[in-house]
Amino acid sequence: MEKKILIVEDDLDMLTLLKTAFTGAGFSVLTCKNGTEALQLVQSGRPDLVTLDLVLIGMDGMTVLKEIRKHGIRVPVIILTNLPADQEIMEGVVRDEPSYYMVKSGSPIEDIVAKAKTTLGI
Amino acid sequence: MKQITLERKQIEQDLKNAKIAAGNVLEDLQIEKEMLAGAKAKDEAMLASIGDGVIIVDVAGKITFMNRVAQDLLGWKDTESIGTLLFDIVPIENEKGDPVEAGARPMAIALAGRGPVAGAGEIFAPSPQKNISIPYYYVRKDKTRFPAAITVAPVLLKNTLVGAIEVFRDITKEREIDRAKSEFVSLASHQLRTPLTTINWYSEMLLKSGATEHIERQKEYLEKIHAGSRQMVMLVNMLLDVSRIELGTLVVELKPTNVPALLSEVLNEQKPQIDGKKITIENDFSSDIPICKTDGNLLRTVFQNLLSNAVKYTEARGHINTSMSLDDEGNVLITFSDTGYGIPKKDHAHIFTKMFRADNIKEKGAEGTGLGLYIVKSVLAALGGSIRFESEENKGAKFFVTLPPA
Repeated sequence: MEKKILIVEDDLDMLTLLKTAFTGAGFSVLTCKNGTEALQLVQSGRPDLVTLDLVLIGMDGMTVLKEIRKHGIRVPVIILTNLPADQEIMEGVVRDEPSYYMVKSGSPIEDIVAKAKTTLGI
Repeated sequence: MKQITLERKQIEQDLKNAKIAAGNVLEDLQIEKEMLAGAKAKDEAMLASIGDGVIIVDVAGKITFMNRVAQDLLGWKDTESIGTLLFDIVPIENEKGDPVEAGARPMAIALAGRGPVAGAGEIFAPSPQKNISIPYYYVRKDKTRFPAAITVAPVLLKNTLVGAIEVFRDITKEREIDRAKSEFVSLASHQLRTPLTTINWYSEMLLKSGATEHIERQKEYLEKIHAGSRQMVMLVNMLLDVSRIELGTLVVELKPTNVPALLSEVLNEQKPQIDGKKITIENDFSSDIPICKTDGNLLRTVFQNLLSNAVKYTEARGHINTSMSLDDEGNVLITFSDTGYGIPKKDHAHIFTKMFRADNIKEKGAEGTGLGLYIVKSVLAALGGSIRFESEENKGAKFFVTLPPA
């Protein structure tokens, strides 16, 4: 059964690269560029996993994560950001689990795909 | 009889001597007393004029002294506070606004004989949370609060505890600066990691694709890598500029400079971006611009930022106009106007603030650091020039740079 991933990313280059990589790894891919849309897609698209950028126009990623959990949705979330891990992020990772934190510039796409696969038990 | 008279005389003499001696002692005592009073007044004057807040309490924790700064910071007059318990009138709270219990207050620790206590706005809580620092806030008489750096020491007289002295200051400013610094570091890392990510991921794809990928696709990836690398260079230069501005180490070398020629060079440098968006450009330089004594390198930074902003924030097929003329006072007036997204009224007051970016351009997805106009304004100030602008959302923007000729 093909797993569905939602990529939330506002940088067009990064979005394209992630989409290419996940499609190539056999995932079905949903994408969006802002927080409000992400929240809607999590509810309507029912993805198996979300990669979530934090710096977004309008609703930021941390708020999206909180909202997802507030709606009782337990989808695993990989926070994929270039922001340094501050207290707010680390508290969010612990509180709003299952969620993980990866730094984009320090993670090859291969590792991100691998993390998604292990999280989903593939 | 004679004998008695002699003895009496002797006694009278002794009494007289004793009286003189007593007078001398009294005089000495008076001098001593005056000296002591003088020294006490001096001590009190010194304590009163210390630039930090000073509160002295007795062993029971009752206030015996409060200097002017402490009175101003806490909103309590010494006339109403002396004799009351410090803990009753000056509560301490933690970051969240919960009261710090009496026994955990620095003053209580000092009075309990646990030695001097100090902290730069923080005090190390007693075990088991020994290593967790807690910022402390003083609550003023009017219930507002401020973060404080507190130092408390027990006052000992012949090894007996007679009270404690608390010295403190308002560290609101320091905390704001700290916060601004960490926000800046956070922003800088985010900004620098963005092109690094693009470089890493595109090269990863390129390496993986090997010879199977179409040559056009490979070229596209290389172009993205190159763009990412250029972006990094630009960012590093901007961050260095910001650092020099803030450390006050911006070097200004005034040399005779042909300002119109300098702007023409910058226009040429950015021609690919201007043409790429099919933006039309018009330049109107007056012929009477004198050679100016200014720093060409710094002025280039100003022109590069203003022009690249105009290009970045103008839609494809828009229009940009640059002009140069002399104003009534003989200053060079340079303008950059565009037909772009403009600056919303609510953001006018903030656009020269470091790291500020208007929402309307963030929504358009235009890349930016929020550093450009901050650098432009600071650099122009260093060159003795100035900048202002006129703009409305969706109606473009016009920036006016004024530069002294010498």
